[in-house]
Amino acid sequence: MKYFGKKSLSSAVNTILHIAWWAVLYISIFAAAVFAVMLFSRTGGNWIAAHVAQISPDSNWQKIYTWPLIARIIALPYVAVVVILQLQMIKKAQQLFANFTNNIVFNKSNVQITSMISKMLIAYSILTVDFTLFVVSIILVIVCAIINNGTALQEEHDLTV
Amino acid sequence: MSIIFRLDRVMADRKISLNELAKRIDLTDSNLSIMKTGKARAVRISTLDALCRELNCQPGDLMEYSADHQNTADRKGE
Repeated sequence: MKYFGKKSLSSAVNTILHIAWWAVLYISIFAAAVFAVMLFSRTGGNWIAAHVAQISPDSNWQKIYTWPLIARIIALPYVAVVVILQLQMIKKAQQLFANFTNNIVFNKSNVQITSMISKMLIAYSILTVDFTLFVVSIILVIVCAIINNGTALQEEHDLTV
Repeated sequence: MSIIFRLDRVMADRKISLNELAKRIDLTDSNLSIMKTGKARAVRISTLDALCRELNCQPGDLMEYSADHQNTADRKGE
């Protein structure tokens, strides 16, 4: 299996991430609008909760409106930050795989992208209280250091005559 | 780097172009240019061997050590 270059695993992942970015964007806008209505409108919230209950009877979404006001005010920016982080991580990952598709592997821009993704993933894992993602982000930090070392070796190789 | 490549001087003495020399020692023009402009980080023994053979010279003719050059480079890096 080809990992880098055209018609490789990287190019397939690049395409999937491109589609995923738009999907996450549209789904997030829709979900944020629904969530905002459920947070601040009793009638709108009830209407949505009734429809949600038809799909998933065990859902406790109806209770969202009963949250304290401060929790409801904080909830919306929290969701916005989480969604922005998701979109940014997908975008950066897409850039990384686009570079892999163009056979650019050990490069300074890849080091920067990987570093950025790992930092965003650390923030995301803390915000969503996800320990698995936190471990993955730490592994990504190490991968970033490996790419950095690889870049130095690549530069050394390129400048050896 | 305190090693200065004198390849351009030796090439001028021998009246040989970069393309011609690259062809003779089976090296790409860009790689030879890296060496000529002093950007090279390392030189393979095989490359040095081919250069000395084609230019009929000693490795010392192709490069020299200059402490002044190092100091200038350090100052530029500051």
